Amino acid sequence: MRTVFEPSCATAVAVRAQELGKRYGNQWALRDCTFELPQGRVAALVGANGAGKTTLMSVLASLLKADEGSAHAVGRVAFVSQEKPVYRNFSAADMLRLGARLNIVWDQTRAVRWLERFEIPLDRACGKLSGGQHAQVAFALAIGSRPSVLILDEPLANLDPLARREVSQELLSEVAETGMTVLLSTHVVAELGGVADYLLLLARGRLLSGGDVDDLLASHVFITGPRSEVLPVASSAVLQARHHDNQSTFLLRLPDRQPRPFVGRPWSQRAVTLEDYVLAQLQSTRKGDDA
Amino acid sequence: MNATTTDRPVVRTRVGWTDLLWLIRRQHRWMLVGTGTLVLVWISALLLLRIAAPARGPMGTWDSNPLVDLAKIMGATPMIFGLLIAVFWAAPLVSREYEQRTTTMVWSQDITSSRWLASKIVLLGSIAAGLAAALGASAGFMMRGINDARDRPAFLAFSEVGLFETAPHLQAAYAAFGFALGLAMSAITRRTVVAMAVTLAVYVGVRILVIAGWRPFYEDPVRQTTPIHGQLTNGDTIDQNPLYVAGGFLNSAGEPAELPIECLSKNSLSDDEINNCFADAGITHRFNDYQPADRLDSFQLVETAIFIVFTAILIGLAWMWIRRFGRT
Repeated sequence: MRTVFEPSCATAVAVRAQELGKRYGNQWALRDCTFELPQGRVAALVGANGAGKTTLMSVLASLLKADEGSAHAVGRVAFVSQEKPVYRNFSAADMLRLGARLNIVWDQTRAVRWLERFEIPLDRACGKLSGGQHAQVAFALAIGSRPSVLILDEPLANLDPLARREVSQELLSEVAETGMTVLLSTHVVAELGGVADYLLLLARGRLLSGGDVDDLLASHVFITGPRSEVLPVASSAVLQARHHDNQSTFLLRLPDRQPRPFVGRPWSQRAVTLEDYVLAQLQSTRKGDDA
Repeated sequence: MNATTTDRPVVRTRVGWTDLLWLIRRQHRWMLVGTGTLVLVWISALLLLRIAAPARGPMGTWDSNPLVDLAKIMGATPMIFGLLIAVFWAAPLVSREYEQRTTTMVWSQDITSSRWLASKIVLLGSIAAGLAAALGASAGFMMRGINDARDRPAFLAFSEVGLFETAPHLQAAYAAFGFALGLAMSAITRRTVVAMAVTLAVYVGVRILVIAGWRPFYEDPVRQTTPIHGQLTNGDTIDQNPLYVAGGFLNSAGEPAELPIECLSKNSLSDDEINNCFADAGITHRFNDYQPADRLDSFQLVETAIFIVFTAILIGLAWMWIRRFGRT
């Protein structure tokens, strides 16, 4: 963890990336990535496999060096990689001792509370725990170090559905209590609703879109009606157009701060969910590449 | 969650060396305890042999004494201890962490990869070097004890199982080299089995290269020449247990000369006739180049220095590799 202490500035930005680029050999895994993540948010980093999520997170956690641009996180950063690594011959209690020894800030109470919440035996070697329990030990270690920014790579990947929901809830309450910023990557878009309030969408190493989830969703709308190649409303940006047998659906991006357009029958409009938005965005990149 | 956190988090200014020592002790305790126990048992056996071999058997020049034979086998341990450190301690050290992805976990705490690596090198490396030095000192102590009790020494200065490699500082340098080599291979290959195999091959290769190719030439050898017609006295050099470097024939100009094959192909010739044949071919002297046994100390120091240089280079390589290429 690179520890950069910085007075919290007025804009309260937790993570700032500027034209960040990272390549492996000749292949750019990340390019031209610029964003600011406000403090105290739970940001979802979404993208298809190989989009550069892990690379971006590793750069932000100072585990990889960027080839161009800069990345900066305010305060201490904790990173839990996809594999949720822990020492197999350490018990969960040993892993917490490791956290206490190797961090300049350590909150034993909070770490133990996390393990107790998920009923993880403290004295059993981590190698004998299940994959899900493994993950909880890794989370407890990260939580206990009281980071300003917590970066989680696929945190929900090897958890059962109930544990997924519980981990999400616990994370949210940790955010509420400590004011830390969470950046988590996932491709299980359906489970982001109600968890993430900020979105970073990556596709092929580039940042596709990003911003406050509520703002993003409020500025998009679905319009559905009889099959038609032509939009019933004028001058809106079409993000996606789908045509079925006798129905057409358009996803529109509304101009800044404009209300949803009025559409008359037989057309109807409905709000966009985070999943709708993400899938449409990802699909548009795929189509764009095919073209 | 509405539980309130009563204990305030512990806040410190930095992670100290005692914390890194704790990690190493916790992480490698079985390796440390196991190796320490083995070394202790081995040292006890060496010390026991020093006492038992003269007491339990004949110690004349040509007498067969099974305990001296055993001592010769046990005395070879300093030759392989550095190899064991290289292959079993150091080669898995970083690669296993890469394989289990724990490098990302440990380097995500408030500790840089450099500091983590430094703690491994300093703490584990010095323990390895210390154990090697103790083994070497004990083996040397045993050899000198047995030598003193015999008419002629059983352990020569420069022989394969001899006094040369028992110098504690040299043993420490071999172990440090082994540690650095294993570490570098571990960091570069990131595969434990590959790192162990490459380390084994390189360690053995380098040691053989140095023993056979470099050690005889740390100083200009002493040349002993004998006129071709004179009596060849070999007692002088062999009694001093020298390190034999080269031998052959010299012409009247004092330059090494080819062996005249025709003189040897005549089986029926007497020694005098062979010598005359040599003289006819322009050969005036036989010579032996050797390093006298009293150069033992200085040669040990030179070899220690060589392995310290190797160690420094390899540590630098491991360091650079982990910092530049090995962060995740």
